[in-house]
Amino acid sequence: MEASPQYPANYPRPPIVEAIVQFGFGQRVTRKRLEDGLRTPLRRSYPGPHKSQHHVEVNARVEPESVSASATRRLKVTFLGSANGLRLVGLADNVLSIHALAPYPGWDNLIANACDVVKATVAALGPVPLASIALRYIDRIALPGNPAELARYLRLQLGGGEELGAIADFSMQFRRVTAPNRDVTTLVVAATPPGADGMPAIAIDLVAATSQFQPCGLGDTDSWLPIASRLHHLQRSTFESIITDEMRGLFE
Amino acid sequence: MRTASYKAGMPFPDLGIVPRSYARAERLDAAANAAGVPGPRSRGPVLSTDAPPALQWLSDLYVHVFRRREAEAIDVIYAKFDELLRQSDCADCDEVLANLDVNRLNITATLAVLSITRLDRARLANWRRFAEMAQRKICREAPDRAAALLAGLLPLDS
Repeated sequence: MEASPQYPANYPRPPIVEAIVQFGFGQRVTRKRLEDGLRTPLRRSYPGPHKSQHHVEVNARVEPESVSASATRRLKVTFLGSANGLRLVGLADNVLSIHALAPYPGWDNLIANACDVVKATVAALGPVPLASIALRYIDRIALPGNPAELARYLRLQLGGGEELGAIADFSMQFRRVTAPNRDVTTLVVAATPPGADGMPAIAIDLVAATSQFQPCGLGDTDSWLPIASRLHHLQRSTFESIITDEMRGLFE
Repeated sequence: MRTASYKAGMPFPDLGIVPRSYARAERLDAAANAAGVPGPRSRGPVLSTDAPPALQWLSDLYVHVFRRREAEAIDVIYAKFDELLRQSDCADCDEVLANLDVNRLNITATLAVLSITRLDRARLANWRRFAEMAQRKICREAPDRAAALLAGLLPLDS
């Protein structure tokens, strides 16, 4: 059971652009096998156009007399989409991910979607051992004021240099491993280009993940669901720890 | 001879999960490049929190509930669901039910959604899940009144 949060249970206008639940497999399951197994059973819930992301790798060969380069492009992820494209299932080698795009449907819906996809996956592929579980939340927050005073909104600050002018660009990355569960939190906060309104904006990209748990299979919902809940609590409490009340006011 | 390999793409760290919204950013960059738009590319992720116009009303609804504007919230629910249910295909309405966060509604708004959609539940694949979440919420927040509030709307197998 999650501890009582010391922050609002939810916001009417959360800044979440995308929320992801991701399962890493402990045995080789190719993207194609996942796609072949899930396309039909998930067709009713995810009838939208399927999208792909490719991995582009550039190889440069540097020799005394010449420099040559070649690029390879290979399919990395296939996304099955819902009718309006806001719910997605990502299929990659050894990875299954469930995505919710804005407007954020809430944790209950996100995890229910994950359970539905997991059920279909186990029915199609049989018991697959789990190697990792991760949650990722990506937020975009437009800040009033131009330039915005970051200290009013973020508790994370790199002080100094104010006399040189307003901050034009920044990015910060943190990584933390918490005992005893060895949960890994990775946080990236960065400036992001302004939107159509011209307001300065930041992105907060927060991942809570673990690969340290009692061996269990993807179908053992009773085993992984408490871990996912724990990671969700970790993600929420970490997010709340880096923002100010003034920032919270932007989500209301 | 030295051979080096570089991963092309966003300068943001690869955190091991592929988000869809970053792909949008890459497409925006590609479109800007193709159109010859000057300026830096991929300085950071280009992300949008704007809900699709068709679902903007959901955000409005949550704000009405949060600010205790109950009449406005109910008006939005009845107007929008009525509009969605008039469509011959209930797919849009069903997607709204799949995206509706019952935890950002109050009991009155939750009951309003249940009551307006109940007659069409056979056409709405996500109705049952929404109803289960609504039932849990109402039993949790108003355990003494839950049976009375849900009378006629639930049980789910009726």
